[in-house]
Amino acid sequence: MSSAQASPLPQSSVRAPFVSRAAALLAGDWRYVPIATAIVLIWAFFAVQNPAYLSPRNLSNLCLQSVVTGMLALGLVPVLLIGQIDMSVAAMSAVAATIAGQLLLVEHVSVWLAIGAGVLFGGCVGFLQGRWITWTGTPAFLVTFGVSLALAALQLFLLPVTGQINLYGTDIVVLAGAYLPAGLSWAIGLLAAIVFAVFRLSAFMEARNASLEVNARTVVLPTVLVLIGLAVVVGALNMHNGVPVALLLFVVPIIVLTYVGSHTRFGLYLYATGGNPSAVARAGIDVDRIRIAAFVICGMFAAFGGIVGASRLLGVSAQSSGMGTLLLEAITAAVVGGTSLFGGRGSPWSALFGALAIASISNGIDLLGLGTEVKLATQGLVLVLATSVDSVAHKFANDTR
Amino acid sequence: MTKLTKVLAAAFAASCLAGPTFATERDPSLDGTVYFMLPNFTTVRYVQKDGPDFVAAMKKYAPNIKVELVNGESNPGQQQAQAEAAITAGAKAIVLTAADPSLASSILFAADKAKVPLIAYEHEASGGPLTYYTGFGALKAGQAQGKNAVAALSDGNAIPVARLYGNKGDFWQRATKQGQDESLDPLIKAGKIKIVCEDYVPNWNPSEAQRLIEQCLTKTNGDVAAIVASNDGTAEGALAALVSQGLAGKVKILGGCDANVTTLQNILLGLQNGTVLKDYSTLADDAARLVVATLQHKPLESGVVNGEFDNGFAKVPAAFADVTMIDKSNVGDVVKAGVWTWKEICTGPAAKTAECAAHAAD
Repeated sequence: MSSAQASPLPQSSVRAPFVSRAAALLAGDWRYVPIATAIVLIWAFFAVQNPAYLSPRNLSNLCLQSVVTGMLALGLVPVLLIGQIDMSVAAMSAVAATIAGQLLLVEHVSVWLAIGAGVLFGGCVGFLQGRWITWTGTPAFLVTFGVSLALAALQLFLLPVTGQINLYGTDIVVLAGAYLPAGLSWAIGLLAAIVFAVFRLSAFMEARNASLEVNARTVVLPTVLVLIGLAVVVGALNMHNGVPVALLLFVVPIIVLTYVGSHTRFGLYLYATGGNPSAVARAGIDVDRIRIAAFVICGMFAAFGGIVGASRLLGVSAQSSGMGTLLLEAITAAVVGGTSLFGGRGSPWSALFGALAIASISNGIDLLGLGTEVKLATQGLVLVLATSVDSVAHKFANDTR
Repeated sequence: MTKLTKVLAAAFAASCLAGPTFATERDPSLDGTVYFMLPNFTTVRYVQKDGPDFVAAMKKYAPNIKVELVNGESNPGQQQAQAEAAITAGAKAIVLTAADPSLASSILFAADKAKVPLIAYEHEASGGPLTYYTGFGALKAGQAQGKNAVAALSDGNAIPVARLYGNKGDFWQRATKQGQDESLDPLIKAGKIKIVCEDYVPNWNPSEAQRLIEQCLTKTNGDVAAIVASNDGTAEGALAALVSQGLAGKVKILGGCDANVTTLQNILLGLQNGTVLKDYSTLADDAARLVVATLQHKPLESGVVNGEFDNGFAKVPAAFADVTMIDKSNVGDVVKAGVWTWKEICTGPAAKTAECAAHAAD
């Protein structure tokens, strides 16, 4: 899989056999074990406090509550992989939602054109940011933070005189408000499991043809796990309203980006740029182009996430969109899910797991009515904890190298 | 004050009454810059309405005064720095809508020390000297919301109600809740309503309100008959939660405040019961008159100051404005007050309602 290409661990196996073997497993097939364990623990904790937590209704809530943060986190993954950061994602999501909403309501363009224009805007701003950062060498943190302020101003400029856009009753609402029919969800789930099995199988065949030591278990076990997981998710969601379309709009890009990351030259360069940029440059690869592309992807996903968020809230305003803790939640989600702030390590799936973990916590706190203070404290501590784990892992990897 | 300036002031006052065209004669006391310090960008009305309305009102009463609008961006620290800058720049007067009314006393004392008149606008800046206060008062909005909720709920038995308060600990949250409690507490005591969820909405953020109502519906398995929201943004978030659960129109949304356009549309569509209207333009006009009178050191015409406001430091002469409860029957009052036009309200699905059809030509 993808991250093995940039894994700094292999040479150290002689010196610290147990620790490094565990680290190697965590960097490879087991890399989702910590976050999955964390999610199970969070769910268990809240379910004990209030059984309604695991009701189909709440699982449906949880999906929709994770999607917007998750899309922003997904966009952040490529940027984090190259060792940079984008602080403008939340503001970008707000501006893109404003653009799409205004086009839809004032210019009466079709809903797809409105969404396309918003996403295109996100890509363009991402390009300009990436170009500026690579050209001037200014730290991405500062450039994107400055741009986020400018974007907040742009949103105020673009909003109508009423200060808000009401999307109730418009076509854009289907993005977050529609659910798949039960049969279709089962069909898609089954198809996904089959495609997954085929991929595992082809990887297995490749490895065997290359006369590597492999085990058929690496195909069967994960496929069974994925099948069970999908069945549980689809079954539970079908017991309420069905699988939200928004969940599909989130998961499909994850699969596409995962494929790009592990099966294309661009993906290889992306991981390598984060791991060791000078080596990549010496290999004759245009590092700047890789970096710019990462920012473009980030801008587009931030924009799309913002539009889905507006569709969910049925509106856009300066108060609701891109405000509050969205930016921090998105960064936390990517890092909690296992994408390193130091570049080179991570996967698009980290956006899903991280966003789910974070949404699970605030969902539970809201369900128990614990209040703002508990929520803020928990969010802050989770951020510190997740980034600390990442930093310690980074330090450890460097020490043993 | 010399006899001559008194005459000039009188002449100016007369010219004001006669109309803006006569006000071109320069009154030395009506020169320089007045600062209007706005609290934030998130409450739409300040940037979109109060600011421009105040500029227009000042132009009418004192065309030679320049009005500077500065925005505290929800940050009391930043607003304090802006106030200090305004005083340093020689502000003739400051109209202050505090970013946080309970953290404004340093600004009040700084202005007092520099002898710059300071008029508290809408937000009840506390703990320091003030020249005047003008506003609607958050308590009044809460009282109106409470009465609105009681009218919709009083003939029930243990009706499950969810309450959304504002940002925990902020001034408006406390005052609004206090106003609501006056009407709701007797109903709770009589067992007519049962509060099944009550939550504070961080920063009054509609997205947070949406999630809180989603969680309330989870907790009660969808058994909520009414939601009392403390402003329109949170009511809109609550509605979004109801829409995604297929409960829009089935669960009453009560309360509301600000007369947001989205909310007015929701009221016309029967998705929300009502909202509290504050007619901002009268407020901006009152503030401009208070500023001009203060700068000219002359007493106000009767009717502007109509009460007294105790901000914990002193009792301040105040110009209180009235709030109006808006429901489906009197959305037109919002248009009459000049807050929005029918054209602005009648967009999207709301355009198809009978009220909008009746005003299609407006």
